[in-house]
Amino acid sequence: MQEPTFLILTALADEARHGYGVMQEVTALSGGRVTLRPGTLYAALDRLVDESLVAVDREEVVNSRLRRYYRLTGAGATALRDESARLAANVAAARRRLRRAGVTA
Amino acid sequence: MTRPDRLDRRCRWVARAYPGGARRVEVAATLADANDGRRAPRLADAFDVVWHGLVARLRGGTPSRRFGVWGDAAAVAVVQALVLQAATAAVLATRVYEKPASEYPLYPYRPGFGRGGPLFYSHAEAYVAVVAAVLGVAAAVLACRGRVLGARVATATAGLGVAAAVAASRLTGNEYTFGSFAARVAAGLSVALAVCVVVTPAVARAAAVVPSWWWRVSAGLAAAIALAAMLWDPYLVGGGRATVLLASYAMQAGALLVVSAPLALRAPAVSGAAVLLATGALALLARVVDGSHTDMAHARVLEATFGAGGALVLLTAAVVTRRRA
Repeated sequence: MQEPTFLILTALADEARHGYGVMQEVTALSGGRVTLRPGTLYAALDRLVDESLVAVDREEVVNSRLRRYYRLTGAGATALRDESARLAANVAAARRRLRRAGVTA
Repeated sequence: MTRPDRLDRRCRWVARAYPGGARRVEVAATLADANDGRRAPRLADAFDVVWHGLVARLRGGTPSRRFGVWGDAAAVAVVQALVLQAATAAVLATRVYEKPASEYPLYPYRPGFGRGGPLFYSHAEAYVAVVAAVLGVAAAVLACRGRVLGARVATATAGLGVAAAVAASRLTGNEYTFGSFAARVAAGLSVALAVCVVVTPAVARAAAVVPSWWWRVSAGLAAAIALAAMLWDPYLVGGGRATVLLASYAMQAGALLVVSAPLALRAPAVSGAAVLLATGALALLARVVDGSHTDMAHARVLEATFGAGGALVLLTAAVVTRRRA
């Protein structure tokens, strides 16, 4: 799973968000390191919807702008959990090796 | 006009790169949200939206629910018309007569010009036709293998390339020079690529609707029947007899019916009829664009009659079947 995909799923883990909300949350989660542009975001969202990891939650019109909210599906939550576990295991392995080499992480 | 209004308008304009529907509206809104306080979206954001919008179009875009089964029917009609066109182009390409273009009469099928006379004014069109025919076959093969994007691009390029090249040959003159060759090829490719972006969502729908065996059967039958029809073309054999003319167009109409029947059997009645009507119209359009039969009013009437007649027969059969059910 690529980092933007991981961050999008993470952004949707606790609540449904609209496109711009996801963009803001991804920027916040990554500490400003990852910034999604609208076209890139929707390409990723389309793929995640196709894979049933994300679903459309509801639509609202705010200030005459259509906002469609997306939420994580059960399969999406499972995928995020598995990916988190995989990354955590990688991090733990890296830390062990660094400790052994005398480098503090 | 206030600043937000101006921003919204510009964002909507940029989002037009996306296929129509709610997604386009949504992208425009998000683009505007991301650029609040500005008069226009950032260049990088706009480029990103245009790029992904075009990619979305090439991949088939967001399926539109507005047209439903009619959209499927029209989509399949586009595909089968293009496959037929490519098959016909393959036949035409085998009949190129190798003589300098300046020696050709105004009408390539003038009596006395003989069997095997040129339907193309120069080799350039023939080359384009051969490439188009190969692309047409490749499209069917790719579709069968599930390579949908490749199939879409190849199918659209094949049919539109032929139409554009032949049409361009009327505009650029009949002499075979490097300039006219380049002009024709460039025109064919650019028009094909441009229209490809518009046509591919329809082709994508067809790829989703039509099972792979349909592609194999229809491509094979279309090629075989178009070959037989063209071999019997009275303008090529120089006779112009009514029986041969009728047989020729009956076979072309048969080709349309054969390739449409599988879809009509699995789709609702109206869409089957829509397929035939649209196919007839497209075949007619292709023939008019071709230019080789434009002065033959009776030929056009015959094609239209067969297209409409076939649609009527199929529609009647479907209605009867539904009533019995």
